[in-house]
Amino acid sequence: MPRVLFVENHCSFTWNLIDALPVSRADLRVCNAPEAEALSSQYDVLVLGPGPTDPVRAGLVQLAHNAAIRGMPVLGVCLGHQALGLAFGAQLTRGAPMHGKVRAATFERARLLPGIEGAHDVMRYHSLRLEHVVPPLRVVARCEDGAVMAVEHESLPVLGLQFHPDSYATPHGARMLSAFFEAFRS
Amino acid sequence: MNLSELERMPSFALLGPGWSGASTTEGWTLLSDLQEHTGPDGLVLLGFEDAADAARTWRAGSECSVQPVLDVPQSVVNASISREGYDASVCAIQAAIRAGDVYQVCLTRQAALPSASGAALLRQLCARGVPAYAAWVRLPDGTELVSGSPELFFRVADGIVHTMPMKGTAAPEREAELDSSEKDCAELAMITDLLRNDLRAVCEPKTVCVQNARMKVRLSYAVQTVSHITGTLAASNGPRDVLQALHPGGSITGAPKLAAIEKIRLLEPGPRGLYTGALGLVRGPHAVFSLLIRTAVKARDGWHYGVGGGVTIDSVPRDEWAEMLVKLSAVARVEHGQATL
Repeated sequence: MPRVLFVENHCSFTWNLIDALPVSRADLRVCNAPEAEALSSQYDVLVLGPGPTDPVRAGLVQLAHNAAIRGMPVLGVCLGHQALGLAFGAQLTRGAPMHGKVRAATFERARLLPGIEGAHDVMRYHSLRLEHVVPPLRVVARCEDGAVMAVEHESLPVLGLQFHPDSYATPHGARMLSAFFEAFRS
Repeated sequence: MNLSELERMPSFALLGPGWSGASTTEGWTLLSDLQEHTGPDGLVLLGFEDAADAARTWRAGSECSVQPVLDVPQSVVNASISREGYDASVCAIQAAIRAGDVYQVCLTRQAALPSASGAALLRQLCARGVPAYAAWVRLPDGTELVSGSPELFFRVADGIVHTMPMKGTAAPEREAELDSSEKDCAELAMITDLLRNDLRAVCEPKTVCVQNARMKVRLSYAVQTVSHITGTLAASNGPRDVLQALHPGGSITGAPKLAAIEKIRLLEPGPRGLYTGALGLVRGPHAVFSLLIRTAVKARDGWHYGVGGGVTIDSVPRDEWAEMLVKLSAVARVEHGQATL
């Protein structure tokens, strides 16, 4: 079992995501952003959780970058996804707030989301969004309004999900999380 | 026993049909001779601003089933409520939503009901159907409240925790609009996910389930939507732990909870007190708690009755205010305030 370090960001959905990850509670430690840098070397996977504000104010961008370039598998959800984007050259802009709204997202074939290709309903909780995603990141899912819903790194085990795979209204969310955990381990 | 007799009793709690756990009964539970104590069992009362571990408990000296005759003549209760600053608060919340700082904030105001009495308020709140969590509480320390709450905060029975957050409101004649409102759907969805999160803190891993994502509750003055979430309580936890994990209830804070509470402190005119707090009955491993909405609380300067709603990016101040007046119509005739609608 990979040991997971979960960075919590004062969110009300943290435990939903923890419960949806394909790991047991015993293999997961929850910490806040300032603690994460020192702890990350003791874990196999870094999960940057969702939360309010933006990734700069939340102190996640450097953390995301450092862990990713060390080759550590990093999963960013919502705020964490935005942190990964900023760490690898994308821009963060304001869009129409989509809190609590379900939309269909179209997933391309992705190295880190095997078997998820096609359209899936996803629950969105964001007003900020990534734009101008550039290599080494690649957009692997979008909604009809053009919003980036998922990015992956071209070679590192780094995946960002703008939507909430942990929501009850994302039917295949747990399957997507399992797909990521299988992908970086194989 | 009739309502005027109850009003003369030194201290009691009268709890309506929803408190027994059996939905068919028309009976009420009367707890009298209440004495404050610190044990886990009894009547539990908690204000919005209070920490869950500061919840006060009263032991019932005697308990019986009663059929209160709602024989107090129905009288018009007048209310006054100020809209001053309300629209600006809605706009401030929406600016914070655009910045990503918060997703939804339950914004409330308190109406003054200067001429009311406990019996008259209970009569009023029950006149068109007894609310599920109707209660009239008069405590030895002088605390008095009358609640027509339709909202189950949580129930613990046979090791399962149930919560039914209520979000989404329309006047009865606008039920079709509620059905198709994306704003109301999103408002409830956010709080459903929030309650899943909060329940997880006291439940066994991977046992928290949404049993029903959106159901309608038809009240005489409004139609509302609720969801139903359950979880298997971890063996080491009891009702007090659930209260600790869930209070203040997500449906009356907004999401994320901490960011929403910060906005509430900043934008509401004063502390909420018992309004949007919790009232519960704990018996060993079993408990029922209502959220204290549609609730009048007696203060030094007369009765207050709070009203509010979830402000999201799709909120229109005028519509939010109209929704608050719908909730106020459960108990009173609006004397001042309607003119500004």
